[in-house]
Amino acid sequence: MNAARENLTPVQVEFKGNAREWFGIWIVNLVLSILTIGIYSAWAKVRQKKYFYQHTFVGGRNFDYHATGKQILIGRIIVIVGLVVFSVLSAIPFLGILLLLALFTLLPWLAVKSLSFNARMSSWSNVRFSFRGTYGGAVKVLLLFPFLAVLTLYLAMPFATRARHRYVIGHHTLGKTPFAFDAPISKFYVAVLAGIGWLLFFGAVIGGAVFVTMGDALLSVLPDPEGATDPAAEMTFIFGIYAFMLVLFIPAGALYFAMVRNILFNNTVLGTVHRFRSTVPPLGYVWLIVSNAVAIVCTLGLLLPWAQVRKADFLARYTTLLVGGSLDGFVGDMTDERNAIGDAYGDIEGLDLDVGI
Amino acid sequence: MAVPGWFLAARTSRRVEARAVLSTTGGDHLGVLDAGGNALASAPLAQVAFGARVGSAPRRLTFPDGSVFETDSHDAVALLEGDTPASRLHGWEAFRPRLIGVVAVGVAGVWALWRYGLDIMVAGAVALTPAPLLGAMDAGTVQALDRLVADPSELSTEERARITGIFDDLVAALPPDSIRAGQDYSLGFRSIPMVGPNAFAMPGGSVIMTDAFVEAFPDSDMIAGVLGHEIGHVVDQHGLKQVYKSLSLYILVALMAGDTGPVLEDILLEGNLLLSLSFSREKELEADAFGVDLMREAGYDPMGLARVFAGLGAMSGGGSDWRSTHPASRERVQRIEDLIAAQGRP
Repeated sequence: MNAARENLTPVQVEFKGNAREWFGIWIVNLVLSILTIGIYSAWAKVRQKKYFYQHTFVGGRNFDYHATGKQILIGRIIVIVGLVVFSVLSAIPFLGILLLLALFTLLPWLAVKSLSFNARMSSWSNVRFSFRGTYGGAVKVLLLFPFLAVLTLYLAMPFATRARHRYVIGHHTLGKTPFAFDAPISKFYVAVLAGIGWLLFFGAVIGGAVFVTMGDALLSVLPDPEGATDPAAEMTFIFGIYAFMLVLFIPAGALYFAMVRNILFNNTVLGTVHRFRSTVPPLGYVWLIVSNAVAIVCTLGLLLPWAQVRKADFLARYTTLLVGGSLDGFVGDMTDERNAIGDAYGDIEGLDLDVGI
Repeated sequence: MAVPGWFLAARTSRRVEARAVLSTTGGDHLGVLDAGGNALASAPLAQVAFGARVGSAPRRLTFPDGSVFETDSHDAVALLEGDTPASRLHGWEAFRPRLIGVVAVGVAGVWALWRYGLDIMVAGAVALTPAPLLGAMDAGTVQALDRLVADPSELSTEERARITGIFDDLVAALPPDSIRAGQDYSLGFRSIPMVGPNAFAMPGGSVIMTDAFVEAFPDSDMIAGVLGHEIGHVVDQHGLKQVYKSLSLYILVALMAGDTGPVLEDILLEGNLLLSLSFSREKELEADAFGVDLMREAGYDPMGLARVFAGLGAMSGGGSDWRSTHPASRERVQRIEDLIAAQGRP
């Protein structure tokens, strides 16, 4: 590997989208989704994915997203019908427990389906990605390890996190070329501690300040048992919750995300020769996310497309592919495109395992 | 004409500079040539798949064998492709004055969804909810209550029988069309010191009254007042509507706003809190009005409910206590008195 490392050529990841263009697409998506009582939203999702994939370039070649609106719509209908049936049946006492068990066994399967669908529908430079994780592996990293980590009072959670990323990244391929990931556990602990540290430090600072300045007045903010509270107190209460989110939870989450993203990229190998480098500055990312959130809330959502483009641009700017050899050598698998249709129902919304690749 | 671009053979990342050439002899035929003029791919134009135009990304033309020609010459591709629904879509998305109209429609649409769409979704969901499901939901809530905060009631059997009698009087006085098929009104007693004098209603028709309430306001008219108010919540399905409203909002945000990312989704959903709080005020007043009517119908003094709120206000004492700075109870007493006055005393 050392020999390969010396010949690595850095290639900058570029995001070439802009807020004006994406705003136009986004607002048309929104209008058509409303006019079709939500049906168009499946096509809107495809257009959104295509916009961000196709405007992301590595070495002059962009990504692409190949799912069709129809595939997404079918997937969504299946999920909605499943959820309705589940919630109606789960009200029946004994059946409820059985259904919950069934859901637990189904969850890893759904996750594998969803990952493989999304991988197959994504390509870079005309080569499709694929995901070949097993059900057993998914049971381990999604159910067993997190459960064991909870038994250690969450102290071992970073081990479960690392195992999940190892599983998800390690079973992805670009064409026939596999990804692999491993990293020292200490880095994951550092990221978790940074997030918790932010929560504790700023939680203490704000908590102290609030009690000193407001004291008893704080009590009047609590909801009345009969439900009808004074509007001014309601507003204070809601405003307080938003302020808490903006200062505590959103930044802590962003800090953790940025650090984990760097760990994931910096320790992933593609086909034993290509490597990645992510140098996202954690505090810079916190600022980006918090200012985006403020901009979106203040414009009642109209600046959402601007914020999304700004984030994509920011992340791309700190990401580099270290090419060992040539970008021309990736070869696709003949079977990938054919199987993709059979897995159309595997697109399950909301089963996002938050992996940065 | 020759369009400059890049050629990628099927299922490989190998990318070479190339140009696409349209020949019209013997039907439209699209060919791709490399710099040396060698043919790389060729197919009848009708068999070439045109990737949708998305923003300013390169256009991608896929040949039947899976090879791809990509180019930034958008105008040339538009000419080849002709007028299709996909190309018109791109026109609507362009950032020009016409987009202001699209934005206006979008804003109006979101407002209409918020104002009317949510209520329609909620009404539909309530109508589709089977009564046995409501009963099961009640049972689940009561179980959770018993596990977490509630203790068995310490009221005497006679006292319970007296209050259950009042409850039955009220239920008997309900207009027949306000009872859903299979819905079962029942009253339970619990000791829940945490919430003080209080009563709550669940969507299936279960009402719970706390011991503290009976101790503080043993008067029959006052008990009838609060029970009538709670029955009002059940009849108008306030609790169920609240649940469905949050759920519908979540679905709408997820569908309409697209992939907003986890952080933004959280922020948007916090909006629920805003909605539910301002909502509950309105619902409380509606339930008050319903309760007043029902009490009169069942032969109780409608002022009983007003006396409960006056009592709750007085219980917390005057002066420095936070409740006295709180107009809620006084405002509600006033409203109930207005309602009774408007209907004329029985």
